[in-house]
This record gives sequence, structure tokens and C-alpha cells, in this order.
Amino acid sequence: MQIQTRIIANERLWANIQTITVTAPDLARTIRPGQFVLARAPNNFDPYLRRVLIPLQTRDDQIQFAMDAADPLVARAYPDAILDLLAPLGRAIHFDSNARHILLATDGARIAPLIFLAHAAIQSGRAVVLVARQTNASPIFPAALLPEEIEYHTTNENEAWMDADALAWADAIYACGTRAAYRELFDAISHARYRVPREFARVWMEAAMPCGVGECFACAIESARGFALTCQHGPFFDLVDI
Amino acid sequence: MNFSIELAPNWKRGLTLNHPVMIVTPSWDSSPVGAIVTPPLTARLRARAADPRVIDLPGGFLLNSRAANPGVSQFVEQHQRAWEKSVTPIIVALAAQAADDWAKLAARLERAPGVSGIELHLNPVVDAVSAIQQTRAATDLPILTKLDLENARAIARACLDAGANALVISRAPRGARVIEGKIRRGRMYGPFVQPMVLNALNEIAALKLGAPLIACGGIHSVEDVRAFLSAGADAVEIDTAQWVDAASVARLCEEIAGARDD
Ligand code: FES
Repeated sequence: MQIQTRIIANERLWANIQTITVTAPDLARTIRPGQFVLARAPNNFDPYLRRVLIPLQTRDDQIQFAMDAADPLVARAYPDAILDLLAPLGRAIHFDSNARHILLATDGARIAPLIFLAHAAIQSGRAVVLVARQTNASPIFPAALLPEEIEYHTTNENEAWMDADALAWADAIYACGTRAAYRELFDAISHARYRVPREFARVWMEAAMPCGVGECFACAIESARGFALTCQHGPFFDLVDI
Repeated sequence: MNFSIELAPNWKRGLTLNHPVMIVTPSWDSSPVGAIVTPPLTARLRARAADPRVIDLPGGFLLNSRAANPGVSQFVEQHQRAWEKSVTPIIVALAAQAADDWAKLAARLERAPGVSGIELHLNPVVDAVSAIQQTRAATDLPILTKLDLENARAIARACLDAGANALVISRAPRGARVIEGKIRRGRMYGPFVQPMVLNALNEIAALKLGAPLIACGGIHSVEDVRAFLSAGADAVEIDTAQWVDAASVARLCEEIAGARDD
């Protein structure tokens, strides 16, 4: 669905995360965690390609998105301007009814998809733990910017990303990190729980997404199930398939 | 404008378009178009490419996805039901990973229902004549040959002599950027490509080869379509414009169709 929305606010959230808030009543109702949108300033080819915006939270008929603060679209997205969205894109995450304990983890790469997931989990009465690992490239996300209900833990590069207790507590895991971090996660889960069950851990695959709708194949990955498109089958994929 | 464009004149299987705009996409159902051209498919799945796959350029981008695709068999299985029902001609684009892939790829499509033509993606390191001859020997489907800008003019006639029915000018030009000290190569897309393609197309049109010419590169508006048609193209292909603004591409197609009906 291609829609025109009006920008309400364009603010720096923290470090390299910019937030763009738009009015989009239908989308605010329907967009789900795990999904994203592609945005562009109408009638403008600078930047040429649409940019990935990740929902952070919805409030009434507004959606606040996160994007890279260095992106050239930030300069075009001034309040009251129109933002053209292709949305919602990607596969929505639906929590299993038995999954009451949700473990979220970032190794510094991204946090926005986890925050939107956290809001949804909290609203549905689930307990949420977020583990953030500090890396050289990325400092620790400030606790004050997270929903109060989240239990927040931080680690550093010399420590395990997630400890065995957290892995044993979790009914479902959602992680944003590098491929190397996902390998580490796979090993840690195998160790703590003896195997990695399907649908237990899902990981966000970072990819350039020029079209967002399965036309360009630029976001293709080879998963255990074969050819997959990050924009359609992801961006969250089952860890077992990666 | 009056459109009924034959892309395989004098060939045993015709390929007639009712609209001069062809769209490069796996599927399209929003407005009248002349033909749907798939992304290029290879014999085997291809999903790996070094990051970054997409690099911004002023007013465009550089794409290095190494023609990622699920492989011709999977793609055909996924789409053939829709193709069978499609009133719009379906042209399947092919790229080879090995010199002897062409015949296998063409044979796979010869059996696929709903396929109206083949588009071969050639580049200067591919033996164009051999690729077309292999394909021609394996299928009677009309063959469009999509040439690289670098050698389009030089090999245009040889491609037709080898059995191609029409020429597509051109594949996206190659470019490079230095990212974090490393050279990154890819193909360039965006409106700025248009003058290069227009120039090549016009030069090839001047050769009067007697075969249909299809322009592809940087087309984003009705004016762009008209410019290519007036420079010698019989039809045009639109690729990245619909990623950027599918609604305006749909309007463009409606407008061209409206001009035909008037
Ligand atoms: S972004 Fe184009 S296919 Fe996924």
C-alpha cells in the first residue's frame, strides 16, 4: 500500500537514531512488530531510493519511526511535509500464546525493532527482558528511553551476550545483531537448552531493501529453506534457518 | 498513438504488445502494460553478494546483488499459474552462470506454460553469438537480447544474425565507488542513465537493422517514454522507477494507454 502521510515531528532520539513521527491512522492500527515501511519525499530523487523506517511506537493515529540519523532523507522530512510510505512491509511477528517470557537482545547493531516488539509484548501482559551488549561502535542505549516495564541488562564485548539463566527463562527470543552474534546465540542456546527449537529464536537480518516488495531480489539471502527475501520473508527469520 | 507492436516480426511465434511500456517485475496487476519482463534468472539459485549491495549515488544508486534470484525452476513453478492466466505477455529474462547454461535455461522455458518470450542478459565477456545460437537451437520462443552499453552498437547486427528477434538497449551501465577504501562495482540506476541509453539507442536505430528496438534506462515519466519512442524505440522497459514510486508508474501506463485510445 502506497500512502501519503503528514510529518508531525523529526527529532534525534539518541546517538545515530532519528525519529520521524507521522499521522497515518490506518497504518497505526495495522502495523505489527517485525514490520517496516519504505519512505521517500515525494517528487524528489535525492535520495533516489526509498529508505527503511522501523516503527518504534504507535499512539492513536500516529506512528513514530526510527531511522538512521545520517540518512539524507532526514533533511527532507521536516514537520508538516508529506512523506510517501510503502507500508506495511515484511512479516509480522505474532507471539505464541504460550510465550509469556520474551527475551530481546541487541549487540549494538539495532534496537528499534526490539522496542516496538517490547511495547506489543508488554501490552499483551508478557514479561520482557532486554539485553544490550556494548560494542566499540555503539554505546549502551539509555534505559530512560525504554518502557518502564522492561527489565534491562547490559553486557560488554568481553562477556557472553546472554547468560544461561536468561536463556532458560525465555519462552521466545528476538535478537538484532551481526551474523557472528547469531552464531554465538545459536551456540549459547544449544548449550543452555541442548537444542535450538524451531520458532524459539528469531533474528533480524540486516539488508539493503530497494523495493521492499519482492521485485528487485537485492535483499535475498540463502536460508536453510532455500532462497528467501528479507523484505517478504523477514526481516525476522527463525535462527534455525539462518 | 496507435499501438500494436510486434517484437518478433517474421518469426514463427509472434510477440505482440498492445502497449509500448514493458515493466520489469515478477508480477504486475495494477495498470495496462505491454509486457511483464521478469528479473534475470539463472539455472541455479543465487543469493550471495558482498555487502554493501546497494550504494547511493547522487540521484540514483549502484546495485551489486550479482543478479540474485531463486533459480529458473523455482521461479517458474512459483509463477506459472499466474502466467497461464495472464493476458499480458510474459517475457522471462535469463542470465547464465556458465557458458553452456543458455540451452538448458531456454529448454526449461520452452516447457513452461504462459511464457511468450525470452530476454537474454548479455555482457561483454559473454560470447553473445554463441549464447543466442544456443538459445535459438533450444526454443522457438521469441528472443530479445539485452545488451551492455559498452558494446551494444558493435554487436547489435551480429546478435540479430545469430537469431535474436529484437534488441533491448540497454542493461544498466557499470560503475564503481570507493567505500571505506575498497572499490565497489555494480550497475547504475537512476534518471541520469537516460541520456547514455538514449544516445546508444539512437545510434543503433541509425543502423536500420530492421529489428524492433526496446529502450531501457532511467525512464520515469510519460515524457521519458515519448523521448525514447521518438529516438527510435518501438517499446520501453521500466525497471527501478516502480520501486521508487509504483503509483506514478501506474499513472504513466494509464496515460500512455489513454493516448492510444484517443
Ligand atoms: S527489497 Fe527488493 S526484493 Fe526485497
